[in-house]
Amino acid sequence: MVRYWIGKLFSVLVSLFILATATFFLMKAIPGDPFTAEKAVPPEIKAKLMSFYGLDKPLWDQYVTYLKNLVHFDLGMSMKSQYQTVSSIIADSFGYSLRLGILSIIVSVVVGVGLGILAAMYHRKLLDSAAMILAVLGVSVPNFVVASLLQYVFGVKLNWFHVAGLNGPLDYVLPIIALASLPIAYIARLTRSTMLEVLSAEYIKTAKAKGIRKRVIIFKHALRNGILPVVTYLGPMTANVVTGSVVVEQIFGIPGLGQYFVGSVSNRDYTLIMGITLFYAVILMVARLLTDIVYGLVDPRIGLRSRKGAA
Amino acid sequence: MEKQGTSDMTTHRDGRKQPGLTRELFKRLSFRPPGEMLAGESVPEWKDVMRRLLTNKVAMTGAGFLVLLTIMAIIGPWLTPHDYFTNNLDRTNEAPNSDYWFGTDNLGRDIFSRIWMGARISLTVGVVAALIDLIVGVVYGGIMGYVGGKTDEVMNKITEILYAIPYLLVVILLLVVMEPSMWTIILALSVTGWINMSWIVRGQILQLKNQEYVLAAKSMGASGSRMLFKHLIPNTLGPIIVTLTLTVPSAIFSEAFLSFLGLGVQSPAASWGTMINDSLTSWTLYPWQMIIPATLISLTILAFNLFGDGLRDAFDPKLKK
Repeated sequence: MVRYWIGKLFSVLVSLFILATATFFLMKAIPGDPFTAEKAVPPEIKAKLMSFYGLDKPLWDQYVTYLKNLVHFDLGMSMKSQYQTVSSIIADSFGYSLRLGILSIIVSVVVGVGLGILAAMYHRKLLDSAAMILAVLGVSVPNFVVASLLQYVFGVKLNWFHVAGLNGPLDYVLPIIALASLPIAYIARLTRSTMLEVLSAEYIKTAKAKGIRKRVIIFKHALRNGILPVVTYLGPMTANVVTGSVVVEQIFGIPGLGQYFVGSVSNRDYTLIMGITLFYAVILMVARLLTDIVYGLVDPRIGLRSRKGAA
Repeated sequence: MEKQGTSDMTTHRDGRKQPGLTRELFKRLSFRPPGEMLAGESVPEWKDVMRRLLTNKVAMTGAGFLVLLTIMAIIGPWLTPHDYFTNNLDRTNEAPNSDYWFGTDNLGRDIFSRIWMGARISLTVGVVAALIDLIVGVVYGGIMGYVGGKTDEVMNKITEILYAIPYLLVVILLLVVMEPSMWTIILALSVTGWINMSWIVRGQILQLKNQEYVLAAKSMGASGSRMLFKHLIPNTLGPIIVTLTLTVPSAIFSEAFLSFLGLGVQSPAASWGTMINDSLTSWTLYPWQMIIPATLISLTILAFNLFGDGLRDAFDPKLKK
């Protein structure tokens, strides 16, 4: 058991190291330096700049410094926003993304599981079909389309919400719907199919035969098992919400991390790109590890089996 | 593990009605069967699958849409006298009319021909990315599953480490380094895309490896590659095809997503994502500039999903085993 977790942690660290190395050398592989694109800089100033960012040292030296700094969570200075460290940019902007992300995850789980249970309870009835059509649509309509449509209909036409910004609680509504639409759809399908399976199990039949009320059966007996696969979806869902936030923040003008990420890519702010990439990677890997831990805790049956590998 | 989560989720248990299927399977025999021969004629498995697929109306609607889309992607840009890249600044932001069937964008370019050029890009990205995943995934997963032992352990560890790196970050990093274009996107998507496929192939092969007919072939001295390509891989076709069909829409989505962010296909080339991005500043005034590409991309992804779901249902009896 302990060995298993140490192995997991080790492979996460290896992944991070590979990603850090890959980003470093990819950024160095780009022809020219970050200051060539600017309007012509006098050579003395450029030399100063290069030495300020440590770019005049040999490559392996830069790489070692970079790794050393990483261990101390020092991501360096932003190359385009003056006098700002990458860490401070992340610290300033991540709050918005985190709040949005966590709220979206909560909404997705609650609404998704709810829809799934409803669909399973009314199997092959109108409600079931309606929920499943909604789920297929949620999987198929890209999040940036959902976000733009919501903004147009509820922001511009109906004027119920602000078009952009994140100043009051109401401003969270549209971005959260846009971020949650895909996870809701997945979770609803997942819950429905496992609930259907569980509901036909022997122990549910026994409960029914004992005359226990339907609601109690569903929520007390079936849901416990029916919700298990949703736990496995926690990791991929975090990934979805993170990638989703990149466009949703762009569309709704939210000054979150996603906004800065896109900005850093189009500005070619290399230190910021590397920093945010690693930061995102850490979040996603932690989410995956948590998923594994939680799953092992809730379902001791499956724990050992899935640990044997992919089969 | 995660991929088990996804395969769970994709199992349909809704038992869609399939008219005709039952009737054919239980058709009356023309002669009195002696003793135990009560079964009907045996039906080859692929025929069975095809029949289940063909009688699935939802999946066939999806397939029909995709055929139509492919045809339009091929001939669409030639149906109108306007090309997709010429700016016509006298006629910007026109609503759909008899001259410009889908209207024009903010540079006066014809949206009708741009849409079908976009369909070309989307379909190419989806299909080529899926094919690369297929080839790499099947070879890698096949070796993992077939050779087993230490090789399997090491190769599996490599995939696990690669898989832990979020694919979108890899894609974006590569796009920063390389010129953004359709082929860059395909390449970037392929870097991590094949992993899921390799796991599915590996799992299937591990399952099949211990079956009697494989043992029989082995005892008759069949070579390793013959075993892999003749016996094992053909029998894993079902899950492979299903995974493949569901890879296409996610590749299409990724392309549109990246182009929307301005990291993918660049104007004047027309990708649906680029078109939606171009329309962002003005589409509250000229909604068709947004609605047409948005609808098409949603419908395309929907059609692939429906068709993929139908395929999975058609293969399901075998998967259940």
